Amino acid sequence: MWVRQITEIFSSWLLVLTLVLQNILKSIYRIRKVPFIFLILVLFFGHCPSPIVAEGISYTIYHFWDERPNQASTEVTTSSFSISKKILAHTGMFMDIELDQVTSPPLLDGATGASRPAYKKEESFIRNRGQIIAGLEQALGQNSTISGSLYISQEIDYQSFAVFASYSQDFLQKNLNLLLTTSINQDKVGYIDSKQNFFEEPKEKRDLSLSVTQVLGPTTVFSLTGSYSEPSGKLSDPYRAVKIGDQLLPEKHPDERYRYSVTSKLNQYIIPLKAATLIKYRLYIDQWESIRRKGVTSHTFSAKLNKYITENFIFSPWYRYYIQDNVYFSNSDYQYSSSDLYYTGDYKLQAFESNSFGIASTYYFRGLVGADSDWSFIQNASLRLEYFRYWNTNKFAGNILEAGLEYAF
Amino acid sequence: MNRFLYSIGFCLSLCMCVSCARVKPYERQYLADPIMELESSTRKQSLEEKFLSTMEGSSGGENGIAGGCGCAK
Repeated sequence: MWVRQITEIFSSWLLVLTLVLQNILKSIYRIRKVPFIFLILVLFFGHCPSPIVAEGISYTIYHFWDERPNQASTEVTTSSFSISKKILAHTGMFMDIELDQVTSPPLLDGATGASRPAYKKEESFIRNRGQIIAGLEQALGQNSTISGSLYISQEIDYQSFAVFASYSQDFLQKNLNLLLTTSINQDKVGYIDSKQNFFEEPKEKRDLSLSVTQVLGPTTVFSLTGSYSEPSGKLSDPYRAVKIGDQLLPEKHPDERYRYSVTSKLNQYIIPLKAATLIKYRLYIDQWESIRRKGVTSHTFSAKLNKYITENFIFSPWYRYYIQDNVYFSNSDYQYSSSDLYYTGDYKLQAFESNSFGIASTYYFRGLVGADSDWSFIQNASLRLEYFRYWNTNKFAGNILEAGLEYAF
Repeated sequence: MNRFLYSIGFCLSLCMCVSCARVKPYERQYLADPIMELESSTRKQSLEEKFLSTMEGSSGGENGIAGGCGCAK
């Protein structure tokens, strides 16, 4: 019964997506096709009763480009399509498909730059990556839900497979929520050498996190998340090299890492301003090797304001500050020594500070058309635009531009 | 490590101290407003985390689903 229903839902989705793709270009020139496509979507998805997941469909595109001294930009373009929908009385499902394209400039010194096969180091390299996340969420009574999902990503020299599970429980008339999340990743880290021979090594990661969310009042919510992560296996980038004395050698990291973090968030609605502030602080500590040697310690503080400019337009500036120290085996000037077991060329394991500043805007189309219009279906749509800039004390800066369209069922 | 445990203890204590507050379902209009971002999507969190984890040595603390490489650095 379950298998049959899920199969029917998937096959119907594929049909709808195929129709949309076939008609999307025509729709640009023959706009009357658009209501027809949405009619199919509404007819299909409209038969299900009230949701346990936020039901909707969204498409988001990100473009990232970096700035480094004396070097061309690395660019990343990401397209993401998501859908979430209730499929049975107490069951929802969600799916996310994401495609990345990373364009890397030629390497100048062989020791920096984006990860790429060794035989491509003297020319621009384009890396494509595909990712699918699919999962189910099941309500267990009025106050608890469980969910599970699968994650698969694939690129030319990296594969990742993960299983996620979570359990959510409400207490005290939904004033207190506990969320327990766990996951297991099984990755294969590949390496393509200068003769195009392929090698790969395993990497595993186990995660566990517990979130406590407490309603403090009619306008205030506080949450606290503690998380633990244990990556192991191939933890260094097989393409990154380190200058040791006069030699350029592949970096070598320990094969065990233990990561801990505590994140606190405070969300406050400010009624007179029709705005909400979101303040977040995270403490992060990690350790390396089975004897737990010192890793990175970092502090992250961020603040965001969401402000209604009009009833249908939200403006959201935000700022984030980050500071970390260095891992015990990082060194800006390695000299060959038989006692040094590990070397890193990764600036992310050195001490630095970073700042990020972003502006976002969200527009809800509900104010554009009346409920009796032929176009009333667009009342459930919203458009989101965001730009943010990141810069750090290692002379690295990055920019991200995001545009997203969402449609709530 | 001790500092980490003290921080967890402090925050949990703070949470326990305030957990007596009760807000009725009909008092939740502001909590349910989209600008409170209490139901921000898992996918969105993972994308932000993915970009920042390629530029910094820390990750975690969110409940988003993330993995793979797609290394920009």
